[in-house]
Amino acid sequence: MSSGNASSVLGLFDTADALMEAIPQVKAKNLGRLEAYTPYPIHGIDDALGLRRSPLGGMVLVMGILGAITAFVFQFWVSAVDYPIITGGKAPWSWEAFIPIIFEVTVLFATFTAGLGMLLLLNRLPLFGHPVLASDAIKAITRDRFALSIEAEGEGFDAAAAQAALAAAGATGIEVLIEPDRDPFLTSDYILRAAGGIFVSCVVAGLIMYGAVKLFPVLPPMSHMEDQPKLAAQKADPFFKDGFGMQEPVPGTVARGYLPLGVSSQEEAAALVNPLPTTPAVLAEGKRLFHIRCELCHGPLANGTPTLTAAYGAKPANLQSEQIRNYPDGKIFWVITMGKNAMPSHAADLTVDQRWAIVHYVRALQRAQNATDADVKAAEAR
Amino acid sequence: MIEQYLSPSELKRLLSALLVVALFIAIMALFGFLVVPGTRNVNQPQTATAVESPQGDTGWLDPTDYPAAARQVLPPLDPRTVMTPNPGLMARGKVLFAENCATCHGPEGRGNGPAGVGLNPQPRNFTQPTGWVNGYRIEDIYKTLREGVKGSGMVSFNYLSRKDRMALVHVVQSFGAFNHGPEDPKALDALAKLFASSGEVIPDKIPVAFAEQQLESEFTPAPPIPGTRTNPLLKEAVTDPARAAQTLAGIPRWREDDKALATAVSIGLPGNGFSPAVATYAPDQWKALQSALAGH
Repeated sequence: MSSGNASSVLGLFDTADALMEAIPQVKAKNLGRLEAYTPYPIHGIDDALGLRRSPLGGMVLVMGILGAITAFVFQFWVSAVDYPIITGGKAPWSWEAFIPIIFEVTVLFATFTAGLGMLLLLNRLPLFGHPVLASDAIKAITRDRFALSIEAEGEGFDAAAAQAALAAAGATGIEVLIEPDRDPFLTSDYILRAAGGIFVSCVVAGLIMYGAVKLFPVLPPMSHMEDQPKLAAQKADPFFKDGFGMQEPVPGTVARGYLPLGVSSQEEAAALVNPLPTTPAVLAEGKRLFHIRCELCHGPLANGTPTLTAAYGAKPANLQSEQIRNYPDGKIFWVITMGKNAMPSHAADLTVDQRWAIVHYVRALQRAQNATDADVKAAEAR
Repeated sequence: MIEQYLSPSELKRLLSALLVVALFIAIMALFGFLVVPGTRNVNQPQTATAVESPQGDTGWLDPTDYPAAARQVLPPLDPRTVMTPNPGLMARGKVLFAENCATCHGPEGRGNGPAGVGLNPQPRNFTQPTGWVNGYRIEDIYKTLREGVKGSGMVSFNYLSRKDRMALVHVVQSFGAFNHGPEDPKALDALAKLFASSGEVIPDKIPVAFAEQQLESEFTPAPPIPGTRTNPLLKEAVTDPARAAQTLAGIPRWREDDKALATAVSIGLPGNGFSPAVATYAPDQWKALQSALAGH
């Protein structure tokens, strides 16, 4: 206790009035920060000591606003700039969705500022054992005496002058309190090593992670969503009895707007009328759908010689044959709707209008392969 | 060694300062890693260079775009080369059979091809003399190939040339070990005369896109139905006037025959421009609708 720097000088007064009178005298000498230790609160001592209103509220306000701005900017950058994802049909820049996070981060910053600011900055903690608690005066302070201490503010604390000032103000039992030993754990050696260790482990972990991502870019869980245990339409699925992932609709299911075809044979279907006009839009739609649903088997020119024949020995119909050229539109429509021989029905995949558009395009293909002399002249004159 | 230049406290302060700087650099590096494009994702696509597709928007050569070709007339066929089997004809016929027939009639002509399983009636078994609809003589099989068999899956194969069809006739006959004769001499003579008299025609060809243009230019929209907005009868029966007009234009004799009109309109529901309600119309209602459609 005897060695080391003096941190404060403490003097005792017998009454509260004596203390209150002493404070202005000592304060006028301006030797250091004044602190009073009393057994009970004394009215007016705050003003006498010149204690300011705590700055903690202001600190909390500033850090709270800073937290709000941080959360806002971070979310804006993440969801609108760096990786924009449409969520719930909303634009990436939808500030309303940011509000909960902004609120959370504001509270987080404000709380940490209030707690840590009070403990570390305003109360000057951590301090394991305040010198006043180890002083001779502590018993008197906690019973019936009033203490005034002049505490060091930085370097150049004049302990002798402080003692003299307190004596002049009428204090008794003046003692010089020595700066306490800090806990060895908190010396900068330990802090330095701990921070260095954290830094080195961060760098090592970061390098390992970086290398792993570079070497194994699809290492789980960073597999770029390649492994998706969902049920795809064409996949087998043991859950269902028939083992197919794609299930038929429940028997008797009727689609909205569906009416059964009004004819029961291909001969009756000859009376069906194609209600679509021969316009570029209809032919383009027919060409698109023919390409998707018909071309694979019937060939791009509908002459029944596609790639499938060579690969599988299949013999799809030659739509350029005289028989099918002489079909009325309704018969072709019937075949698309009901299927024929090995050809399945396409009614589930093509709407009525789409089927009629395909009929129009088949007519164009037939015209292209069985044109008139005038057509050839016109084509060559182009 | 460094103790010669720096006291322990100076060294400590230097290290502290270096630590702060290093932390700052580490944080900046982390943010740079996250923000700077290209450092994060090894699969980042390279700068896209436009690849020009050779033709069309699919990148494949467009099989529907070919030069227009005028019709060709092939020279007449010498009947002696096709009326009786010869090795060249049979070889060609076997290839054609594998391409066109085997998928239903089976590779040995037993009528058990994979695509014939679901057919009703079943494909003909060429090894048996029973059940031939048109008969199994040369002229009969030729007729079947030319016309197909009505009410069955057998379509007309007259898009094959006469020589190819005759090759197929001989191949089909060769599957059956039974006696296929005797032929009708008159029918054979008629066939031989047909082959010798005129050549076959390969028709004119134009590009498909041009054929579409021709069809579009030849198309004339159907005349609009008068009074679809004013006549209450038509307002109820017609949902899409343009489509209904197009449908009407495709129904022959609808002005004279109200029953034909009722049938043709009813079977096209829905989608032909008429309301599905017309399916429930009584004969007199159809008569009224007929006269309303005609504008009376």
